[in-house]
Amino acid sequence: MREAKVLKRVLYTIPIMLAIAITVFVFMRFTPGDPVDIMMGKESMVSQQDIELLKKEFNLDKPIYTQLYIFLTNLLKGDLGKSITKGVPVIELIRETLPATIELALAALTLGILIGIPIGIISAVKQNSWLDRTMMAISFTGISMPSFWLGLILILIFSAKLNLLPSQGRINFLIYIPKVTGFYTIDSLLAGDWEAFVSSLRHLFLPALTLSAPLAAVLARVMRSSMLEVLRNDYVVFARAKGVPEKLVILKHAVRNALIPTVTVLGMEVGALLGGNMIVENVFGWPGIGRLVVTAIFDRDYPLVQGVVMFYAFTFVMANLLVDILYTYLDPKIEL
Amino acid sequence: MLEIRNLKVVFETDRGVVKAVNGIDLTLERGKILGLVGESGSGKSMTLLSILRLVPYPGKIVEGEILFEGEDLLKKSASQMREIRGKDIAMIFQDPMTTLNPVFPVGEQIRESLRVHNIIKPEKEGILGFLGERDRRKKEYEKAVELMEKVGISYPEKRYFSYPHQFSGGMQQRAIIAIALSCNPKLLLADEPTTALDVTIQAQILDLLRQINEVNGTSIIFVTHDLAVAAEFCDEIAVMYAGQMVEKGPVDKVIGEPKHPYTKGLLKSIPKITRKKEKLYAIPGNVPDLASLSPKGCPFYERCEEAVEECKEVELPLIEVSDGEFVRCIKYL
Repeated sequence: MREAKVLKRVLYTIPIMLAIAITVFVFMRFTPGDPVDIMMGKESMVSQQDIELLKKEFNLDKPIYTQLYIFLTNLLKGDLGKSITKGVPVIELIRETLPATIELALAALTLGILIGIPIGIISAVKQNSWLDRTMMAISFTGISMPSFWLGLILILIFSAKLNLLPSQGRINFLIYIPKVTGFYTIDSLLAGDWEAFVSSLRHLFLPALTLSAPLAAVLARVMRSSMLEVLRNDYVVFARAKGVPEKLVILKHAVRNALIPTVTVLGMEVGALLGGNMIVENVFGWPGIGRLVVTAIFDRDYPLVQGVVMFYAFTFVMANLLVDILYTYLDPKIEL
Repeated sequence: MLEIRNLKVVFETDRGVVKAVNGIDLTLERGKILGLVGESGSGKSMTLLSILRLVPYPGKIVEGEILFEGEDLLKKSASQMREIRGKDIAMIFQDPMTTLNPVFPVGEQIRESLRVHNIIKPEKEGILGFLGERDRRKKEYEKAVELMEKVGISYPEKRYFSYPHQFSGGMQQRAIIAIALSCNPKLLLADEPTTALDVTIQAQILDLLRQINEVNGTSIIFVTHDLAVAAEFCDEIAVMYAGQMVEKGPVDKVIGEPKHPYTKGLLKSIPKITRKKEKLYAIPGNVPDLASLSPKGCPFYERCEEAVEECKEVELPLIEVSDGEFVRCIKYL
């Protein structure tokens, strides 16, 4: 039964993806400038003929609706097209940069959960204490601080002043590790190269912390408020009246219930994590998808932008589906 | 077995100090059922929660003694108190729909109380305890199923794994009673256990509670606002008003010959099928606001039909009018 429902939900995502595809296509064409013009603009040696030829190769000479048709039919075949500026298939570029982005996102997600949820629980249990007030003040700062600024401040403190952590890249450029998974932390462990592992962790820390800050802050606040609500419930008093130790009352009875709204927010925050990585990757010179797409936008590299955005959308939709499935385990009252 | 002396519970709010329980004295003998009757906000539930020391923030117990089997519960440490809760003194709540934790199977919640009070002892103590864990779990499961059967839940092996929302209100209350009974408590605190249920289920739950009282010899404090239920179910009745005891005594005395004007009013406002086409009696006025209640005089003064001028001023003790029957009213001074 559950499998059938999951399949149904997956099928629902098709029209959503289609709408996103059309939107991103149209918006890219609205942006002033043309990829070929931008590419050729600085080179006066290019002849009009070459430009025509290039435009023809990427179908830019055809009317917009034909271009849209070509884009959509290729998309259905699973073909994201070829990057105009790099001349390589988009899927290739995504495959190349994806591990870096996933590694960073997973690290940020883990940090966000590990920081945010305990803070929320402690804040709720110690409601209105100085500890609660301090942590909520910090989390408010975390929400309001733009990540490019936080990233720069962290670089300024930990890299420039204290010289503790590197500020750019994924690993010390003198170190070579054989590529297996594309996650440098895992690959270095697989290669048994301890030095590389430490180096990749040190490179990962600052960008992951920057990316996780807004996530941790939101999770802390949501967890706190849902804990406060749960703690007022009869079943919490009843658990105490049963003689359940206070620690278990909080960590078992209350937290399990308070996680339900928190997981919803977590699902939505995965989207924010994707958006945030474009900025963070650029600040920290992290060679991931975020940096790829920002460059592509500046170059008006239509196929590349479209491809990456489609990929983002797919990830986002899947994350939400995953949350919905997770839900059914957390809350027995909910069915898919 | 239980003696409460001069219990006072206050809530410090923005509008001042609210005396939710204002000097309650109670005694309960082994195997008896005591009914605690009064309107909402009269301090019945707070009295019960005080016994378990679970008065919610910002309320606190400021004065008094709660002697359970000769020992003052208010002097116990937090961990001693935790051991008493659920084991010696169990409590069941008003609304079964919100009392069970929605995310755990019902049976597991029964098993949890067996576990926290170590009812099934582990075979080995200390770090080797996990060796007998599977066996211990199985025994606890069997005991929980037995308890479910005892309180009248059919197909207990199957229902063990059901979640609370898959139970009806009456079934949920039975499961809660099973939890309360799991450690064979000496005292059961029942906070309006039938209020949220419909009448036929009400009768079944009351039967079950009476059976527990008779078979296990469990003493019960039964909080209700329904005098008719109290009259049928209890050995003794104590009537509370605005955090004070206004009348207490054996059930036939309090119901048969009520002394306090408030008790009389409560009894008159029970609708009767035989009296047709008559307007239902209601005590005039409302329950007083505890924050703005005058510290002097009888709290019922404003609503009392038999009040005299002195009622406003006099501070009254409970007056013994006959053997075991007490009333707090100027007329019996």
